[in-house]
Amino acid sequence: MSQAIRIRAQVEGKTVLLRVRMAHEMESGQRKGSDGRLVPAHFIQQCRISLNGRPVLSAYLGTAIAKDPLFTLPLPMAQKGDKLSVSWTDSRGASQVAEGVVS
Amino acid sequence: MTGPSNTLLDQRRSWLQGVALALAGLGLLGPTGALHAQSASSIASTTSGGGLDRLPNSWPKAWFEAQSIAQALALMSVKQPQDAAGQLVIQSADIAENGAMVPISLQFQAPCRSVAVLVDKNPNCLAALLEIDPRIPSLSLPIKMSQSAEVYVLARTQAGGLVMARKEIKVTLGGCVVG
Repeated sequence: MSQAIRIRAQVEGKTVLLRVRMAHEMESGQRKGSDGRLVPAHFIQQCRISLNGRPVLSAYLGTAIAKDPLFTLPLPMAQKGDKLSVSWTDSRGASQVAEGVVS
Repeated sequence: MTGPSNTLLDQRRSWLQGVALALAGLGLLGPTGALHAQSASSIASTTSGGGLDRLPNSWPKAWFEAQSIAQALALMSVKQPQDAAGQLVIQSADIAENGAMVPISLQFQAPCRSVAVLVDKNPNCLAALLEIDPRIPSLSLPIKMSQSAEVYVLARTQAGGLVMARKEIKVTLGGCVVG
């Protein structure tokens, strides 16, 4: 896993468009590896996006979310300079946190 | 409501509130932390998080292991959602070439506060459970689809209604095996 979370938030017209990409293999547990055995499931189970410290999106995720998922959402209540934080925890208990600013 | 049992409940309630606040402060609580902290008094009575009123306190393993839409909805205590009738719209390509990465966009024409995304015919139907600020007008996220199937999105609107939208997406290459 490389840089775990990338945050891009830009004012676009009257709203702020937020893009969050979480680098994660999101292994479903259904796929067979080169040795013919199932690759064990390994995926993000929880994530949260906060704006100025208040959650605006909280999620529980399953194995049916694609690899390196990109979440895109407008935040009409956000303004330039606002602080964003994104965190996730995966099925093995690993976690990542990142912060960004609306530009 | 009087008597010792009520006192106990109050104690439990304030304890839960304290724990929720402490965990939320540390950023350790599950997705609904802050929202729960505000309404900790109702945690005790709705720990199951049923009916999509609020998300469960921890990752709901059984829900995510449901093997059919009906089973998932039953576990979530969802009964007879109304047709979304435009309050909630699923946008995606009608045909996805690669089931391992199918972007879908949810348009919340009516403000929504919690959302479940389910994929029929996937080995595990439930893809995501979300709690959102009702001011968020739309959200896009990428799902995996094992084969052509219907995507169901269930939402609790800010007004309190439970609505469901569906969309069929054809998949050229299944995503659970290759993804």
